[in-house]
Amino acid sequence: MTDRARSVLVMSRQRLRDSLVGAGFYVALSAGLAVAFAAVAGFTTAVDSSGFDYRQSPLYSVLGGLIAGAFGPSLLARILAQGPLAFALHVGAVPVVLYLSVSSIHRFCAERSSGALELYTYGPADAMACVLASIVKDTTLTVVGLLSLLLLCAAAGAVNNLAAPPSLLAFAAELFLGASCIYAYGLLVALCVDNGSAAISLFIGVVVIFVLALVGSHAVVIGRGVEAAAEFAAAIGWLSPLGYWAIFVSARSAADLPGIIGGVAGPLALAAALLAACHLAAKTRGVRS
Amino acid sequence: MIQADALRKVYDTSVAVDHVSLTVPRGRIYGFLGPNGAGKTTTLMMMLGVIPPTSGVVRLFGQEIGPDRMDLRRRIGVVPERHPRGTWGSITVCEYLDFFAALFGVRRPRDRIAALLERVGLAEARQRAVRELSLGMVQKLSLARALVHEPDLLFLDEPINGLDPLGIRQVRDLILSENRDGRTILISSHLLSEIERTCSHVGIMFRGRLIADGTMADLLARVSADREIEVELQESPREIVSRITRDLPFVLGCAWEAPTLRIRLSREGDRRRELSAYLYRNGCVPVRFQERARSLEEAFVTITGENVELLARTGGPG
Amino acid sequence: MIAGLRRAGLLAALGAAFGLQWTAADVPVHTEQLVYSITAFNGRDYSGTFARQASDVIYLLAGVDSFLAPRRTLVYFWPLTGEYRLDTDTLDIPLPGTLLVTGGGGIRRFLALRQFTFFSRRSTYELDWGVAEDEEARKVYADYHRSVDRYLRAQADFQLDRKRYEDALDELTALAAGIRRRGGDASAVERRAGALVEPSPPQAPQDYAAPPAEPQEAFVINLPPGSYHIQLRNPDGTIAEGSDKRLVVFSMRSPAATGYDVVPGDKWTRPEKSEAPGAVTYVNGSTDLYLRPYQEAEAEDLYYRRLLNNDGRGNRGLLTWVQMRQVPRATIELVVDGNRSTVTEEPFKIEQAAGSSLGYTIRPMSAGEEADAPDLVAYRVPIQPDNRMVRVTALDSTGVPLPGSEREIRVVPTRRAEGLLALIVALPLAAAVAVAALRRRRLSR
Repeated sequence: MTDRARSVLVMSRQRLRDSLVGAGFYVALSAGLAVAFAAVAGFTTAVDSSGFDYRQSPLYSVLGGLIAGAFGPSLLARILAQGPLAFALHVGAVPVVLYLSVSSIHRFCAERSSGALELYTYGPADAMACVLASIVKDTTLTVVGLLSLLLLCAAAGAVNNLAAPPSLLAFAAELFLGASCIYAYGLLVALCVDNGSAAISLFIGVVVIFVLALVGSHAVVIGRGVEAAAEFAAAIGWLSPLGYWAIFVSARSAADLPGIIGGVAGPLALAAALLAACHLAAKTRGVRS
Repeated sequence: MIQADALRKVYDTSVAVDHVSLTVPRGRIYGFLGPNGAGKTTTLMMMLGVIPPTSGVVRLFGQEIGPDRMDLRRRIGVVPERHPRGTWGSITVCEYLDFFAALFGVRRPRDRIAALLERVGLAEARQRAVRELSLGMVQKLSLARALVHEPDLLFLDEPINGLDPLGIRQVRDLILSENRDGRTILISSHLLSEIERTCSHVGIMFRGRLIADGTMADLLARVSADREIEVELQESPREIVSRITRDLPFVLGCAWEAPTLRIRLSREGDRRRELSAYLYRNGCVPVRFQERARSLEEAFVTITGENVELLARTGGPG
Repeated sequence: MIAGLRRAGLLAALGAAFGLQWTAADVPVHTEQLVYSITAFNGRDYSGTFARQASDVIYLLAGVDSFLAPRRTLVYFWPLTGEYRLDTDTLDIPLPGTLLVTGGGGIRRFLALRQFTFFSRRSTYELDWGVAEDEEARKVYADYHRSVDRYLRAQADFQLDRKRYEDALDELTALAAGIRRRGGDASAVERRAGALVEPSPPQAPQDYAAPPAEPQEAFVINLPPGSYHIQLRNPDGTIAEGSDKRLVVFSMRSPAATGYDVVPGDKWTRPEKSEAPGAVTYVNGSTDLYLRPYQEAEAEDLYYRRLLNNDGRGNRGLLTWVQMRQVPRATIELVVDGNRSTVTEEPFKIEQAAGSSLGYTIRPMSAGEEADAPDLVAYRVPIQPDNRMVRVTALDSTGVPLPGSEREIRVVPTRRAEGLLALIVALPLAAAVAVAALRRRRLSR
């Protein structure tokens, strides 16, 4: 085993241990499960004699109203057609992914400013090994989170007679790939910005831009302004894990094989490119703040 | 073991390190001195491969160091000046050393860790969280970490920072013990008295340059070419000072600071017996007859002072 | 005082200006524009919209006749409904000329105005649309009006015959009554009354569910999928200003699938739709469902919505299901918790609940009601609260499953074991507490 591989293994094990010993990950996971549970409960209470009526659930009526207003009824229909468990899986993953990415950025910046990162580099490790270890830790815990959500979905499906669509596992896999890219973005930001708070703010800003790009790509076209937003969204869609997620979801519902492949290969390529950018940033910025 | 050739580091327009060359042979304990901002840490970082030099080469174990030379870094132990405490979560002392042992691929680390904790005096604190340790305990822990993988070369930056006298002694003994086991050690410190007690060789950095590099004796000799003898007398004979300077040609200077006679002799030849005999013949009763040892502090101040004058005359380092 | 008067005057002037503006704002601004009236086939029937001058693109379905009629008229924005409207009552000038169509891989055509009409012939499901152009359009329209005239004349004759019949019946009835009063035998008179033939009303023309409209002039567009450019040329060959538009011709995705109108037994006026193949419909099991399968296909949401309304909102890059024609002579196969059965289409009657209670019941039509028009024609899917899953597949007349017709209907239990789910949610927190306790114990040793 090479030195870097061992370093990554040892450091990722240490980070995993720290995460599992502390309370933060458990709280984030519980929050995710609670959100997913609320999504399922909101759905079942809004089922009547003819089907699911989103207006009968406070949670879904707010969400449905927002989505229909911003994106039109067609997108809302598409989302609802995926079923409640797919929706629960997606909304439940958000707290977990956000927590893991923000906590990794915070830790990386703290290690650099305190000199811990420098300490590792006195030994057979470097900044890139730290980045990889962080990503290994985050992706491992993401798997734990997604499996927990799938368990909740399976239980919810069993007790409420809800169908687990065959696409649920595919959605989970796509969420995993998208989350990996988000973690890589977070660490790239942490490498480029000294201050932890500033890095987290910048990261949140990047995520917001990706969300806006997703909004722009699906917003109902009602005028030239929104068309311009859609053009912008298309341009940065290649850099956005949410863009690839949208491609994957659309392609799955349309049984479009090239689209599905693109939706999978895209985040893999994006993650590789981000890691390459991290490597460059680590070499350029060094380990000292 | 350590060889630095014409190391230079330039940040924008300021020269942090200016053509520093030094050699630390195997088995030495080398003291690295200099005032704040002299460039010691920058030089150290370049030696460790953390910062790339603008020009010049560093060789460790005969091989050029670089950021990807992890094979060389496995053989180095480093105690940095600033030790991070708060970023370790709830990790305990034992887990901390376990982690670094795993990082270096140490086999059967438990025995090694137990022995190290005994040696640095942290055995009682093995299950305490690192973030709860005092500054001194952290310093000891840092030393234990640097030694966990049995490195051939140790870099210690202010290793006794924050330690009490007992702790200082423990660390000093540990350093000397490790050196006896064959480790080459480079110590950077402000505490000149400790450097004096621990190191055989010393280098002095000043404004980015290595202005002195040699054995302790060589450096002390630069303080003054003369010997200074202190003679404490029971009572002072009349006009003893003028008589000594008149009668003894090898005496360069003499001063009476009751009850001590300070006599400056040339280092050429050893005239202490003649001096002693003269004093006895002239009715002096020496209570104490001792050559005054020069201190490293004096050497440091003298050498750096010389360099300030030199820089003032020549207009600064080029 | 003068300053006060000045101030009052200023305020009055401002108020007047504001009031004028406010008043002016109430009246939408009418602007004269060249617009294209669009009568486009939308997969199911013909719908009308228009492309005003500011609109750059017209959207049409490929492979079917659609109609563009340029005109000069007034366009205004109606804020109450948030849409643009035409004021053809005030100004409506159809524009003559030819339409130049270019693009789509080398197409260059000059189209002349033609007369057209469209109609739907009555069939099993009332969706049998046709178009007729030029002479055929006039003939279809004329034939329809002749049949309507014949019906109206027959209706008039019927009224007269009815009057005569009733008068004769009244006369004979009165005569029989008089005879009986006088104690005589009125049977012969009664036989004569019974022999009177009651005239039957004429049948209104049944050929059309949507009769042909009066033929209009328009350009007939039937193009393969692609992007084109259109431009109106005046009779003198000059370009009509404001007539340039991009024309997006799109087709539905194939293969088509099968969707369902889902009519719940307790809300029959508010059917839902099940569009996506393989979709699951969740119900609470309180009533039966009545299904109506129809053929559907997917289309680009933005394009389709703008086909229906040129100023409509749509999602770029999203597909939407479009309901086309109803599936004729199908059978629905049900698998209810593993038990297979089939249902056929039936007519139903809707009956209001008697008395003061609200609601209604849906029941099959009984033997004597064949002549009545049914209130609902659908496939009844019985649902019980204790059913877990009902699988639905529509089969064609030969028994082959229709593409994309598989659906699941699942009954969501009213009593749900949410305690189990809450336990799963709390598991990570319990794990955190356990880990902390274990660690504390280990470190204290």
